[in-house]
Parts: sequence; C-alpha cells; structure tokens
Amino acid sequence: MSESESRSEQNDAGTVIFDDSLDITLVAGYFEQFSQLLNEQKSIILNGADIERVDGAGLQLLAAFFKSAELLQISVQWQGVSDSLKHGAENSGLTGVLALD
Amino acid sequence: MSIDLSQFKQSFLEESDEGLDVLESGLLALDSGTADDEVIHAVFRAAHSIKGGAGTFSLTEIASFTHVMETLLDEMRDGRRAISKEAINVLLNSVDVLRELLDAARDDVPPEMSRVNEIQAKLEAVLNAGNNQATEDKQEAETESEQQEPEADGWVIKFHPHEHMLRTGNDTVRMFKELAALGDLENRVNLSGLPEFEHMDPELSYLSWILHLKKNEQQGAIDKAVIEEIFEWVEDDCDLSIEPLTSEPDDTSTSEQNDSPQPAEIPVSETITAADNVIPITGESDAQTVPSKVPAAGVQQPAEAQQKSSTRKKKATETGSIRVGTDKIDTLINMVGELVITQSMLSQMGEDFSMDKIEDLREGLAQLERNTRELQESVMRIRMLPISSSFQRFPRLVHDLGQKMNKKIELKMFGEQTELDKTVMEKIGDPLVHLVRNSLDHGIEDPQTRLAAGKSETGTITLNAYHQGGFIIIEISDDGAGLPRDKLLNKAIEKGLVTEQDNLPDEKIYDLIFHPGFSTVDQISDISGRGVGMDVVRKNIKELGGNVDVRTEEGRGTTFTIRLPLTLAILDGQLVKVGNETYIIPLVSIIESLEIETDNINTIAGTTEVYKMRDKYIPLVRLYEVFDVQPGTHRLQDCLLVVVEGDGGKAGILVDDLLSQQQVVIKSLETNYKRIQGVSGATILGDGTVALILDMSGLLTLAKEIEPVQNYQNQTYANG
Repeated sequence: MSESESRSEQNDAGTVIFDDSLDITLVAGYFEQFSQLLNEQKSIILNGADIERVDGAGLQLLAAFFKSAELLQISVQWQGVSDSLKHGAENSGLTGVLALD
Repeated sequence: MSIDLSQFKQSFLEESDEGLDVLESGLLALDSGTADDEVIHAVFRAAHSIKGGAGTFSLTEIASFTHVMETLLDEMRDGRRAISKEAINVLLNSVDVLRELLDAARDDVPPEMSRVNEIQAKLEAVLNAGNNQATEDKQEAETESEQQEPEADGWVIKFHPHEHMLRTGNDTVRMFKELAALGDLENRVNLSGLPEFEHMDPELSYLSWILHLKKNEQQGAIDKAVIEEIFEWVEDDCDLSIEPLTSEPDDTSTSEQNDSPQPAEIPVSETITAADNVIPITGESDAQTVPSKVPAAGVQQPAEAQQKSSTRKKKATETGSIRVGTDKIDTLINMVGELVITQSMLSQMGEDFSMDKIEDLREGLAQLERNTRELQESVMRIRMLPISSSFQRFPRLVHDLGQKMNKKIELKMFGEQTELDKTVMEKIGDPLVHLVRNSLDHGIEDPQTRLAAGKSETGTITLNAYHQGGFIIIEISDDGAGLPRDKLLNKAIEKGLVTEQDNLPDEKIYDLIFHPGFSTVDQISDISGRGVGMDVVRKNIKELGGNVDVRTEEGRGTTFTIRLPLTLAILDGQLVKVGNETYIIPLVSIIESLEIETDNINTIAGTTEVYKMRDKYIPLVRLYEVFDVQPGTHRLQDCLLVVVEGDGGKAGILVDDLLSQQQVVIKSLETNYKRIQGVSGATILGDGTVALILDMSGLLTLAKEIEPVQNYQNQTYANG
C-alpha cells in the first residue's frame, strides 16, 4: 500500500480506503495502519469498494483487526465493499467476522 | 519448496489446444467409421493429458469435466461400450465446452458453468445409459473401490495451514473458490489461533477451517481426487483431511469434536456473541452461527455471461506465441554464422584496405547481401505455419452442418502442410469458414436432388492449398449445383447494378456475388444466404493484399480461388516519385502504367477528371493534391499514369515518375505514429529516407472525398 493511494483520515472516525489489492504483499503496510488506528481508540470506517484482489493474508488481517476492535470496543463500519472482497470472505467463511452480511 | 507454475500455464494451454484438435479429429474419424483401434487410444490419451494438466494448474472445472469424458472414452477403448453416434455427438460438444473452459483459463476469467453443466449432464446420461450393459464390469469396479470413495453426499474437509503456508505463494481464497466451483460449500473458520493483533505477523497463517462441500443437482457427485488436486500444492504445508459427508448435512459438530489432532474448535459464533454489544455493526452478532453458504459457481446472469463469452472469444484469437520447429531455428543459427563470417571478412579487409582489393570488397558486399536476404527469409519462415491449423476446423464444421442440413458431404483436404504467415492465417480463417459454409448451404444439393441429377448422393467439398510465386493459393471447390448465371444477371439488372445492354462476360456476372447485399438465394437460412458476407469476404481478403475469384459451371460445381501474399511483413512495391516525395504502390494493386495522352482526358460535371483508356473511362487521382505536396510538374502530359485497382473500382494515379520496383519491409504507421487514410504503412529506403506505402482502397476513398462528384462505383461497371 502506498501512502498516497491509501489515506487514513483522522477526524471523529479514522477511515481506511483500500487500494485495488489487499494481499500478502501489502498486509504489512495495512497492519501498521490498523495498529495505529486501534491505538487511537476511535471508531473506524473501512472503504473496500475498490478492492479487486484479496487473498488469504488480506482477509486474515481484516479478521484479526475486527476481533481486536471488538475486544477494545471500537466501532468498525464498512463504507463500501467490492464484490471481490465479499466473495472472498464468503468462500473463506469470514462474512460474519468481517460484518459483511 | 514452492514452484511458480504460472510460467508453464501457457504451454499447458497450447498443448491442450493441440489435444483438443486430436480429440476432435479422432472423434470425427470414429464417427465416419474410418478410424482404426489406435484412434480411440489417441483420443483417450488426449483427454487424459488435458485432465492431468488441468489438475496440476488447479483448473478444477476443466479437470472435473474432462474426468467424465475420460471415463466414457475409457469404456469405449476397452470395448465395454459401443461407439455410438449419440456418444460421439456428446463428446464433440464436450470438445467445444473444453475449448471454452480453456479460453476462460487463458483469459483468467471464471468459466460459464451453465453450458458446462448441461453437457456434463449429457455425458453422464450417456455413461449411465450404458451401465446396464456393463453391470458386471461395474460390479467388479465397485468391489475394487469399495474401500475408496463411497457415494457420499459430499465431503468434510479439515484444513489447517501451517504458519508459513501463505508465504509460499499459496492462497486460501483461491483454493476455496475452486472448491466452491465443485458444489455447495459451507465454510466454518476457526479464529482461535489468531494472536493478539499487536503480536501477529500478518504474513503468517493463523486460521483453520472445516469445510462441508456438498454435491448439488447441477454439478453432481464430487470426485475426491479433484479436491485433493486443489490441495496438491499445499499438502506439505498444512494438515488436511478429506472425509465423506455421509451423516446429516447439519450434523457437523460430531466430526469436529472427534477430530482430536485438529486444534480445539471454537465456533465462530462464540467469538462474536461474546461481544455482540461491542461492535456496533448491525446484524453481525449471530452471523457466524450460520455457516457461510456459497452457491456453486456457474450460475451467472445470462447477459453478463454472454458479454464475458464475447470478450473471451475476442481475446482467445489473440494468441501471443508461436511454435517453431528446431530445423528452422538451426537454419537461422547457420545464417547468423554465415553473416558473422562475412562481417569479419569485411572488417579485416577494412583494416588494411587498398584499391587493389576493390574486387574483393565487391564480392564481400555481394556475400553480405546474400546473407542478409537469406537471414531475412529464414526469420520470415519462423512466422510461417502450415495451413493445416486453419483447415482443421473444417471436418467438424462439415460434420455438424451436414447433419443439420441432412446432406451427405465428404470433405477432402490437400496441401495442409503449405505454409503461410501466422497473421495472414489468423485473418483468413473467417473468410474461409464463410466460403465453406456457402458451399455447404448453396453449393451441395440434398441427396435426392443429386441422385435425380445423376450424381452420387454424397457431395464433395475440396480444400486445396499450394504456393505459386510469392503467394499462397487456397481453393475451395464443391461438386454442387454451381452458380445460376441467368438468375445472377437478372438480379443484377433488377438491382440496377447492370443493364441488359451491358453484355457482361460470364466471369463478370459470377463476380457479382461479391457485390454488397447481393444474394440470389430465395430462402434465407441461418447458415448463409443473406447477401451479407461475400462482399466482406472479398474485402477482408483484399485487406490482406490478396484477391478472390470464382469459377463455376452450372450443375457441376463452384471453385473459389483465394490468392494471398505469404507474409504481411514484406511487400513487392513500385516506387513512384511525386515532387520530392517517394511513395510505394503495392505491385498487386497495379494493373498497368502508361504515358498520358492529353486528348484522352475529360472532365465530368466540371470537376472530376477522367481518363479514357481503351474506350472506358477511369477517374484520375492527382497524388500531389491528395497528400498536399508540391509536384514536379502540373502538366499532365509530363506525368505518368499508374492504373490501379482499389476497393470498388479502377483509377489512374498521376505521378511524376516511376522509380524502381523492390521488396519493402512494412513498418506500421499506427504503432509509430497514427492511422492515416490512404496510407497502409511506411518503409525505410536504402538511402535512409522514409517512404509511405499507399493503400489503394483508402486512397480512392480519400480522393472521392476531395472530389465528391466522382462516382467510382459507377465507373467500375463502365470499365468492365
């Protein structure tokens, strides 16, 4: 994930806009970003409308992030969800965990 | 260790295309009863290879579909099943389906499963229909495999990737997608292995899954081997068990609890419900209590499916590689060797050159020219492919259309090893199909008519290819009814294309079939006869720098003769001079060149100049006006006239002078600059200057736009 392409805005809620790919080559960058957002204890908005490719590592990161947010009582909401993300989560049994129902 | 298999996928797809050709031609031979025992073995091997390769590349749909084909073919080759027409037809349909599946794999898009499922159901129906006859064999087979794969409703797959698995390039999303394509997938994920977020390494794998893969009506039983193939590349990087799903579909807890080696299963519902007041996202709290249900892949919206199919077919035609025989490569290497020797000889001569070595220098340069020409020819030969790859579609076409039209047709093919350029080959395919379909539909009569005419009830279509000069000639002949001369002429008079007084020779009358919108067929069929097509056939062939003629004899048959250049990379051109510019006119377009007699020039409607040539008028095109260059002279009597034939008629091109004729290497203007009407490309001449290669059709159209009063179309017939 390049910083210019994915922005984290920190107003009342932190927003993460995903690029077209959420895969193992990018998870380290998103991991840092998520860690920072969790530390800030703000509600978080995710926009995955542009995600065209997601792999197991990407979905696992999201699952871990949602689980952690749940424990920290941080609200996480989706602003946009692409079909690729939805289908990837469905096939992986993660629809509920990622609140994509 | 993980191997990146994607680099071999293209080779697999190409080999599979060849395998399908073997399958198709073998099945057609079996159908016609001309096959020997080896054919059915070759057909089986082709299906088996495709299945094996597909499994390796995780192309699950192809592997599972081919598996059913293979089973049927296996019974045929063992003699357990008779080779019936019905089975052959279903297998031929299966070849089409496999082609679509391979195209989808090539384009990396999901295949359309509706057609796949339909044909697979037919294959299974054929298989089942033969089961009664093969009861003993089946019982034997069942005995052998009773410990193997029970007729399960599906499979329970327990999958626990090792920590490093994701780093090997294997992706769970892709694997689950492939599983979902086999049947109805229910997936329960186990999140208990996830560490606290701050302690996780996002590239390691922490999740595990229990998947229930159930067969559905559309796709039928799921072969365990197909599932194993999906996990083939991770078997050393995960814990995996695949067990039959024999209990009630929802009774999954038992198997999970009994699975001691697996990590303790924490239903996902627990992880969510424990905190369903924590994450304020609506409806998520009990979402995981219902396993994720994924409908089987393949149910697509028809419109979307159609669009995908169209895109896929377009893409599939753009094959980006070519197979070259080692003999051609060896020749090329020899040529390069010769070139290096000549170059080193010339270099040595240059080091201590004196005038007494001028003869040696000339000889060296002549040798260099020979080497360059031979090298050029060798390189060109690399792009040359036998026309058999274009011809091989016709046995199937003739078989299917013959059945559809209740006609008995024998297809004969000659000169299949005749080579032509790959690009020409790709572009000539559709016109050839059109001509063969025309012969089938309009040429060959039905058996009764043929018998009544004293002919054999089986019609013959002959495809013949051979080289003649720098061209390839392709003939499509039939022994059918021939073209009706009088009917053609009457139709042309009715349409106002000719008058009764024109007294056209026969060949000009038959040539009318290439006129846009011209058809004498009383009844339009879905095969041909709409009068759209023959004009396009000629246009496409002309665009390739070739031409097509027709010869026919009523009651005896018709022959279409296509003449094409062997390559599109080089053309024989006439260099002409206009002012300071040099243009190249393709020799194939030139009819003749002559000095202008000013008495023969007339003006029509005050603006359009025409030239009277043997009592016929042809329009004049002043090249300097079209391209807005300064001519050497404006005096017509000082110019030369090059009579050319373009799309729609003849014309006379005015040029200052004729230079030499030579072969020129065509450089694309579109690629290097942009498309220009009237210009098909450019080339670099010996002196380093660039010359434009004229496109006659485009040039004449451009000239018409400059002088809109001109009507070349009308002139065509006036010219005869």
